[in-house]
Amino acid sequence: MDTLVEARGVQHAIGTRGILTGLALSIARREVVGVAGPNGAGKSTLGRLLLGFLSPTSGTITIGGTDPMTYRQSHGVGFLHEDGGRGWEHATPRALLALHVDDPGALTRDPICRTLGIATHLDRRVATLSKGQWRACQLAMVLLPRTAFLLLDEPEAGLDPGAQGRLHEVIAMRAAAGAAILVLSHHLDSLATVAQRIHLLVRGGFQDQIDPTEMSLAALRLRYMRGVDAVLANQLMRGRAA
Amino acid sequence: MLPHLLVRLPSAWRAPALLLATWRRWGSMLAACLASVVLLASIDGTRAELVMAILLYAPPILALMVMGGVFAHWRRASVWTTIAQRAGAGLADGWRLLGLAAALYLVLLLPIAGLALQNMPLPSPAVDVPHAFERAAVFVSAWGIISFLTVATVAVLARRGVAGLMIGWMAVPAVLAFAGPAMGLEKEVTESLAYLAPPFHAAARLHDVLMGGSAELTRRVVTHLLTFPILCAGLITLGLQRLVNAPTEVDP
Repeated sequence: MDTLVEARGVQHAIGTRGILTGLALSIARREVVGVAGPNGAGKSTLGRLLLGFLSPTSGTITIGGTDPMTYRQSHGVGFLHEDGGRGWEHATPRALLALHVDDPGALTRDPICRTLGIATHLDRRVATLSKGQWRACQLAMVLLPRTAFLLLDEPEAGLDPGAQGRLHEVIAMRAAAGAAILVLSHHLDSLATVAQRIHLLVRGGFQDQIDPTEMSLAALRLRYMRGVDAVLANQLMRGRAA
Repeated sequence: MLPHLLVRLPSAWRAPALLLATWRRWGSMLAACLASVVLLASIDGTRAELVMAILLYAPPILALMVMGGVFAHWRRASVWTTIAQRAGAGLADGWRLLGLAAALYLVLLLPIAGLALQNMPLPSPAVDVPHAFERAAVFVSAWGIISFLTVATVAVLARRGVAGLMIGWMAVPAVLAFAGPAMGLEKEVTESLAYLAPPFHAAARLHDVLMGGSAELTRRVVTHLLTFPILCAGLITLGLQRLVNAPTEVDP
């Protein structure tokens, strides 16, 4: 396995409140790894640590053998985050894509752009795009630079079923081309489609690792619920005992 | 927004240009600039002090609006995460953004300064006219550079209260002049602390130095004028590094 991303014993706390409690994670090139968990589990914090936007309280994270911030600044990363385009209302997708590619003239010929179907939106202002159209343009910004590490935070948010199918297609294209991809989501059906393994993150810790090819979606949902419930019940019991 | 122009820029300049072009308050900034020009054009030469006050304070305030606004725009979570994921994103983007802002500041400054100078009364017959204009030109040039450095430093470092911080920094010499003796500070300490403030007073004495002022005056003016850009460059670098490496994501 050609491991690109390696995290060991990662803890993160804000003041006395622990957000992550000793995570270990590795992602190889050509691999899509999913992290599922309920709201507040620590998925976004994990993402910020992997991007070098935050530093762990303890533990180590390396990407390509170096720390995440150095890696991001020297190689670039693809980071899909959830926002409604605020701040870019007066920009056009073409100008935004020009930030990430050397040859903006070749945009419409790129297979990722063609798959995402964004050619007709390129010269419209972001403020005039629908949520799904803006999401498709964001995906293009993240996937077009061909960075080796991609972090997708809730990538299916705002996409209709057809667009979700195209999303899965472009993720598979980038993985086949050698990218290491981490998808943070609580959409189990989407994760089951694209990820080779899914980590269940609850209250800052990985509680379970699931191979989605080994079970049905219903069984996956059951295992997710059991994993979440077990941790919450355990914490409730400890709280009562204290 | 000129997307076709932006995509033709060299790749290194696209992010700073896009940050400037997508800043939302261009309308109010241009309206303030136009209002300054109209005000200056309507003032006659008998109100020279008012003209000079506007000349000295209007351009830095306009520049502060532009640079403070653009850096606040850059700090927005959605904007910043788009910029930050590019390879090579970092300090260089910040310095290029300041370079573009400096060019814009110059464009704003020229009509305002031109109108203000046009409205200035001529010196009395006893004063050598070319000498008076030479003196004014030296002062205005030094003042333009100092005010730009002050504004740029404050805009990069501060996230809130940008205007208050700038006024406070500019008022340091006056505060020291009053508070220093009251607090029992020695003259040397007060003078040393004054080197941390923008050297507008030194700019006003620069022409005297160039004409052959005393050694003591030359030492103080030259030291202040040379150390201030170094201080600003260090503070701007620290501010940009903080913005790029460990930003606080904001979405006002």
